[in-house]
Amino acid sequence: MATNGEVLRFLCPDSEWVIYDNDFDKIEWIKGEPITKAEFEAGFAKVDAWKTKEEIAAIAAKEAAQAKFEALGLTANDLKALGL
Amino acid sequence: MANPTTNFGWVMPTSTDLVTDLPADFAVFGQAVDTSMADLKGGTTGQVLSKTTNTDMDFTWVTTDDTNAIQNAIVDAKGDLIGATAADTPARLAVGTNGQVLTADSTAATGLKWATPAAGGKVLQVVQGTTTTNVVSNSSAFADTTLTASITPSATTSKILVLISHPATAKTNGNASNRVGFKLFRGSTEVAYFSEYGAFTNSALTWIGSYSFNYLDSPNTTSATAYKTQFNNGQNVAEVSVQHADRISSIILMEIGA
Repeated sequence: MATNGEVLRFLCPDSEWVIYDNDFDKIEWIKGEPITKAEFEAGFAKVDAWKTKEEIAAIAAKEAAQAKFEALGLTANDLKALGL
Repeated sequence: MANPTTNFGWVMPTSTDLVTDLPADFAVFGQAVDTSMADLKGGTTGQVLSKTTNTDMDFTWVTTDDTNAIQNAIVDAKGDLIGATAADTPARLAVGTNGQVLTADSTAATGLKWATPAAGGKVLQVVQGTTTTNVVSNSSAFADTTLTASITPSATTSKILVLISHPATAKTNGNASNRVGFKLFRGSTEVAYFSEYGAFTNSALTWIGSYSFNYLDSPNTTSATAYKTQFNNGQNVAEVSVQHADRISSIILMEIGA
């Protein structure tokens, strides 16, 4: 589950804010345009979906890299030995 | 009547004495009376008899000095004391108020005065404020942590020792550079900037730890004075928070007498 901060960062990347008591109605908007409470609440699903997508992409990238290593006849220990 | 007499043992003539013996008997009796009363003779006007020893009829005439004795009328009320304004010159010193102590003062008429003891070098009062309100910020602008307490100093010379604890301070792992700063305010006046790079890790990781600060302030007032802390996220990226997971922060204000 996304946090309030993650949602705000995702929806308002250029805004500055302070949240009191984890309450949307107590957000102090310091810079940028405030969003609505509905937009904020809908943002949790968006962030969760984005995080899932990021995790899947990371796993795929890792698997692709491991395949390349193996094609070259390398292992994780070989990378450690090289200081990578 | 007993013969000799009961108290003084004077020997008197008896009924069987010869008449011709009476002059001699009265001479014995009279001399005995004279000897017994010898100490009562003499003295001057105003003198009184004083016992010289424990022996019966052993007296001395002595002079009393009532005119120079301290008279009852010199004191007027409960707690009055008798001092002196000069040599041989007693004077009344009226009682002070509750809690005052007697102090030497050469400028006072009696050289003494009642004074309130100096309240120096000690803790006069202690006030605590707490909060459990979680506050999260992604901004470099300083915002209230909601931690505050108010104290009313008893003297303008008092100092206020401020003890602050933010045990649940955190940064999220959204960035390598998010960090927390703390400031202390007296009213709207910034009195201390404690930390600018608090919780800085130079890595995108979650950090939760404790921050404590002490400050000795001189507010120079006897009015109610509020102290509070503010915090910020110095890098404007990711988040920092206080009272993470709604854990308590505290501020203790101690008035220290001058």
